[in-house]
Amino acid sequence: MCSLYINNTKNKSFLPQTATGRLSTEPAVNRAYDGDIDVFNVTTKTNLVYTPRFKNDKHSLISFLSLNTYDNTSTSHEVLTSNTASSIIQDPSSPSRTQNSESKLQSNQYQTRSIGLLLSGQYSYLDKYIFNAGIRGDGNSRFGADHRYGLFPSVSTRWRISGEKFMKSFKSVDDLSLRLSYGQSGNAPTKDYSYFSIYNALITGGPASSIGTPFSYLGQGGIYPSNPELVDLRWETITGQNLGIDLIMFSRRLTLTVDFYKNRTKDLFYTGLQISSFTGFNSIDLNVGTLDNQGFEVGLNTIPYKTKTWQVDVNFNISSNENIIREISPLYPSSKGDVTTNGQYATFLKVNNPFGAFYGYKFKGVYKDMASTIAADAKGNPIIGPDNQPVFMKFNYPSIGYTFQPGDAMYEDINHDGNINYQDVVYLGNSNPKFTGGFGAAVSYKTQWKLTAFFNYRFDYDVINATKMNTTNMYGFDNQSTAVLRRWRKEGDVTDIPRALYRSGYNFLGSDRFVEDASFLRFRTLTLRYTAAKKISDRLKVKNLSGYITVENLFTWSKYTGQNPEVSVSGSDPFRVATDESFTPPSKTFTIGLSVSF
Amino acid sequence: MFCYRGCHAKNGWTCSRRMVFTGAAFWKTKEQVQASVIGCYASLLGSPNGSRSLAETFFLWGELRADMLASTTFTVNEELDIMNVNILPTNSITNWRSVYQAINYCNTVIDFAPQVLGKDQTFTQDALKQEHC
Repeated sequence: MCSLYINNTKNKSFLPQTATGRLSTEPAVNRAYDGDIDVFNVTTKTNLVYTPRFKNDKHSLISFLSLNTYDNTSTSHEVLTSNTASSIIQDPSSPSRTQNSESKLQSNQYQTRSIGLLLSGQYSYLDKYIFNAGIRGDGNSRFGADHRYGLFPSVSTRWRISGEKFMKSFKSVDDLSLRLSYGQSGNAPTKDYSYFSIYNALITGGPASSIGTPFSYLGQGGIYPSNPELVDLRWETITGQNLGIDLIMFSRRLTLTVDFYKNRTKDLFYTGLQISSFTGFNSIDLNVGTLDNQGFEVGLNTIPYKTKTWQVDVNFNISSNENIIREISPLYPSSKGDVTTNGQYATFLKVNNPFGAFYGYKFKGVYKDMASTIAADAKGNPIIGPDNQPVFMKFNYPSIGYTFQPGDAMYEDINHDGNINYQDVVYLGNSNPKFTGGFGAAVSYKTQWKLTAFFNYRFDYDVINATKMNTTNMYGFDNQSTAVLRRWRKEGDVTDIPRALYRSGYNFLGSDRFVEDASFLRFRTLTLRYTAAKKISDRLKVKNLSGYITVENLFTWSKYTGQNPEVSVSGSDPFRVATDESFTPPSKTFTIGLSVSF
Repeated sequence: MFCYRGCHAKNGWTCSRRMVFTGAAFWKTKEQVQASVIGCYASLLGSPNGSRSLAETFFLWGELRADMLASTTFTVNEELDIMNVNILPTNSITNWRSVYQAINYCNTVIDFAPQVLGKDQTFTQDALKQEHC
């Protein structure tokens, strides 16, 4: 199979002064653009399948050879100028201004090629021992000459234990299989030509002013080496390992599937990794380390009750997943989050520790009066300074050295030194759930009535309630929640909401005050379906007649105070933490449907 | 050749991940040498990646700390911090990156420009000296 794809784009545009009425010197006035982008893409796929028939039908073999090629060429030529002499002169080649940050005269040419050859075979003996092996060779033009080709083998086996003689005595077992697999695959970088040192010419650059300084000297344009030459960039290799067990028992009344997996990404790509300034470059793309993604999945389907008229199905699944860095480049940042800034939590990257843990201060309430801001030592006695005066609690002394005032948020002084700083930061939670899954049941009566319900859940999942933070911080003019009505106002007030401070103070530092357990159990769907019996549909002269009512997101059980505990983690960096910004929660939906087919 | 090794042998990190700045397909004509030299000078005036230009950086380093500049409503916090002798490494004005960037451009020219002598017959030793000074 071969596919050819050609995309020719030609754009010509002009923004006349008469349309905007702007000053004739502005770059948006009489702006002319002419651009040409051509993309040519050729992909081929050649498959060869060989399935020999053996005289002895105990053996079977399927073999497969596949060759894939890919070639993508793109060329572009663009010109954009401003301030042609009049709104009628609309071509950028006519005299016009070219020296501003928007204007351009540039051409680009890119070519990407890749090739893949896959050879695989599956052999089975008596459908009892199934063995599958494959090898894939990949080549990609985005790598330097030394690492352009990669070889990725894969092996998987299935042993149907229930087919063995010694299993004959277990009559209730329909199928018992053990699956083992190991496979590798490779990823290529997303950028072309990174193994070349590219010299760039730049028309504009400099500080982000509206016009920009030309990258030139004495009226001549300069060029500069724009990237380090990455001749040793390698394939990002993913090695997947899987151990699975399938069990079917009691005439298919019970089905159990268990899988344990571990996907190891070696030579993990990271783009834009900041490097030391002395290299003269800002950042590079690098193979930074090894990442493991591992966990288990269990699925269970049962039919506990079955008669001629009634059938009850119950299903249950549970899974757990975690991401762990096993090896990482020392250039990779090891932490994120500034604990001296309001609203930020600290996260650390630790080798061999799963992602998701975050750290901050312990919130102890609000300082009710001046006396309560006196620092105390480990025994609870006030700390007395060398001048025999009591020492007051400070924040991040000496670089900030703010003295806590009555009405300020009180953070636990873990090391009892009278100073709240990075040394008082403790583990607050983990936004990687321990378990997730779902369960459901279906009851059917005489193939006419069927009631199905499904629940999903997430267990042990800590979330930062950013909505709670933003609506109780009293830091700006934003709307606040009614909780701030009980804020601290005068000496002696005992409350959990600090005083209002406009754009100052340290009242909403990352602390356990905004961390909540967002474990939940949600009634996802409930469906009642009625399918008309044959006699009724025959009488109505229709083939099929059914009606249903579905209710979605009926109820959620959770201790979480935000509007939706199902907070997803955004981004892909190891420092990501589940933060609830109160996006629109899932709606409760009622659907009534009727389907008739003739 | 400028080699950079971002690795530690002791933690099992293969030491072959290097970055080498060569321009095998480049450095062929005297015009390329000249454009690169212009690039070195241009990097003293403006930065190609949009960060604060070297000229401005040098100005700020001298004048901000010497109380030669007065604060206005346009003064940003980072500039105020330097004026108030509160200089932290997180302040972007303290970033030396653009200095090293210019040095790197110069080093690249010093390393590769002599190669052009053999490739471009119109490029003379005198011309090279002129570019280097």
